Amino acid sequence: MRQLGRIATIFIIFLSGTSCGMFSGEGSEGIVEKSLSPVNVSEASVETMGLASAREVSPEALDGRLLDNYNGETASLLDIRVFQFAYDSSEILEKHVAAIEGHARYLIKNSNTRVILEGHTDERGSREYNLALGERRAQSLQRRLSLLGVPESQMSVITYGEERPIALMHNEAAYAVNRRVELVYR
Amino acid sequence: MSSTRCYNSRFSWTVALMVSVCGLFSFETIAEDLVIKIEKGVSTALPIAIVPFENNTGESLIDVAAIVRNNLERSGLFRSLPVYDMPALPTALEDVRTKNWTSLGIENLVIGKLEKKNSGTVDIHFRLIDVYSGKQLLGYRIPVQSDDLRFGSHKVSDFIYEKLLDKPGAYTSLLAYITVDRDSDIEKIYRLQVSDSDGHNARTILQSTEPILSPAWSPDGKRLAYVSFEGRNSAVYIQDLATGRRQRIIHGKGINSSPTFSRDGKKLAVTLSRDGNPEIYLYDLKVKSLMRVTRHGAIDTEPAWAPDGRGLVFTSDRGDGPQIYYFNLADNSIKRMTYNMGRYNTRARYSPDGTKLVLVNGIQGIYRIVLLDLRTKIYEAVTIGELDESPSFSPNGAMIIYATVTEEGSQLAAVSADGFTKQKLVAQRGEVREPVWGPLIR
Repeated sequence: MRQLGRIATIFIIFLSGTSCGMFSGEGSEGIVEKSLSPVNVSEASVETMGLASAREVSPEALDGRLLDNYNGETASLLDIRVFQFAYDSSEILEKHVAAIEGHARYLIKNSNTRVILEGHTDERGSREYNLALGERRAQSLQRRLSLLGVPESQMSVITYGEERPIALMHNEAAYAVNRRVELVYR
Repeated sequence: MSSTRCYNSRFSWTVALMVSVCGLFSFETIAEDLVIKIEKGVSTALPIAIVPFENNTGESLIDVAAIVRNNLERSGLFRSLPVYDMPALPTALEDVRTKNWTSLGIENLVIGKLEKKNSGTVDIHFRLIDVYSGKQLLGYRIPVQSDDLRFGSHKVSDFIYEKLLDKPGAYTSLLAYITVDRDSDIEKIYRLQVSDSDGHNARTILQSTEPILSPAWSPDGKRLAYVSFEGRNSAVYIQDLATGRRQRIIHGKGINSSPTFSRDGKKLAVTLSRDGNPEIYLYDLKVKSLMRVTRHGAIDTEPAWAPDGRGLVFTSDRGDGPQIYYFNLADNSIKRMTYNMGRYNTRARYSPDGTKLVLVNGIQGIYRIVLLDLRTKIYEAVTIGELDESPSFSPNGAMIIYATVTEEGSQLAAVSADGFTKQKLVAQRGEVREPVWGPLIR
């Protein structure tokens, strides 16, 4: 009853964002993306080399310009945007190296292209520690790209910890899929 | 594009709710209450009878005695007599026949009445009577607004709890927690909510399409600090509960998270990774300056102030996996606290008296809540896991609230500090996580 009384006296104040907090300028311009649709992952699909991201990317990242610079082989490596990690680890898995090298070549060739490395973890354990683990994974991939010659200025790191799972089940298969870094091109 | 709505609410004493809207706008539906399911009790509970209060107001009002009954039972320390078993229903002292009650083994009796005053307030009169001596142990008149009777019932519960157990009651304290609504096919809705200690009266403080984490109460109970991803990267905010006014306190490159107020409310301990890896910093809210606490290549996060203000515990994986460490503010020394407790110990919080830590312990894939006695160094699990997290002590140290994953999804549960009494707090929809129990209301 009390709550209805409250709703009845609602005031709506439009704020342009001043007193309610600013939006950080960090990496928020020009990104075209949609949020991932959560999927239920079966055991079988985890064995694939890399999980193609369900996220739609800006068409500019994969347009004719790309095909001019590379043959079809490299272009398909660029489709691999999600890299999993082992439990409690931020080590790059051997099976991802070829695709990572493909991205490195692309970024070096296209110096105006920037990429965000998003770190994620599975849901187990505490959230804040998982934020830190996600960042560590993204930094690990960033270091590898940097060693391959990609300038630091083209990369930035962000972590979501366990907050953005792809797979929602509470089992090992889902955990394996969620322990990942995603490359998000701008 | 993210959408964040802020809610101003004056709870307890006023009727109006002001809603201020940032960016996109729409009406928010009324927040669903948490429902509490009690699972187990203790047979040494105090037998008590709380007789339905007389209602002289001429209005239909909520059942104060029923709320008090539920509150006291929930602690696991009381066993209250059902109304249908009561031999009589006295509401005045002179109507009490102690023989009625002693024959049932009842030790304490509570009677009362509600009276309307001219100003639109209601007076709750109640008396706590020792049945064996026939003497009144306490009697109070509590004036409340007629729509605040639930709060009045919590106050009555606190008085009774304190008188009989010689410890402060926590019934008037509040909970804060995060809910995630996955019903929408388009996007998830995150809500930071505040409710009464029994889960009722839930109100949304902040709503967002981006994650909200780590709510933390200021020591005076008037503000909440939290982490929001509305700016795409994590940032720390503080919001005033009465006015809804919020301020972004810390943002920038890297992680900005894990806020926790110092005991005097003047500083915030936070985790920032702007210098390369996650470290603990202290932020002075007045001077707006940062002081770095840890300097180590490992992850250092999840700070929590000791009640005596002399130091902080935090999580660090500088050793064998994440463990709990103590930072001494006087001499800057760092000491490890968790030994022989496996390779995963995180998210420690102090008991109000500073003698224990409650934390998340992971062994062989099972994550459970563990209590570590800092004097004896003995630890025990108070939950069985497998996916338990975010433990928080009630302000009287009697109970621990936490989040657990069950078939119904992620929900809140509470356990008594001795591990015997367990309760579930179930959200009506969506998932509930990261509960924090607010300070005692005085």
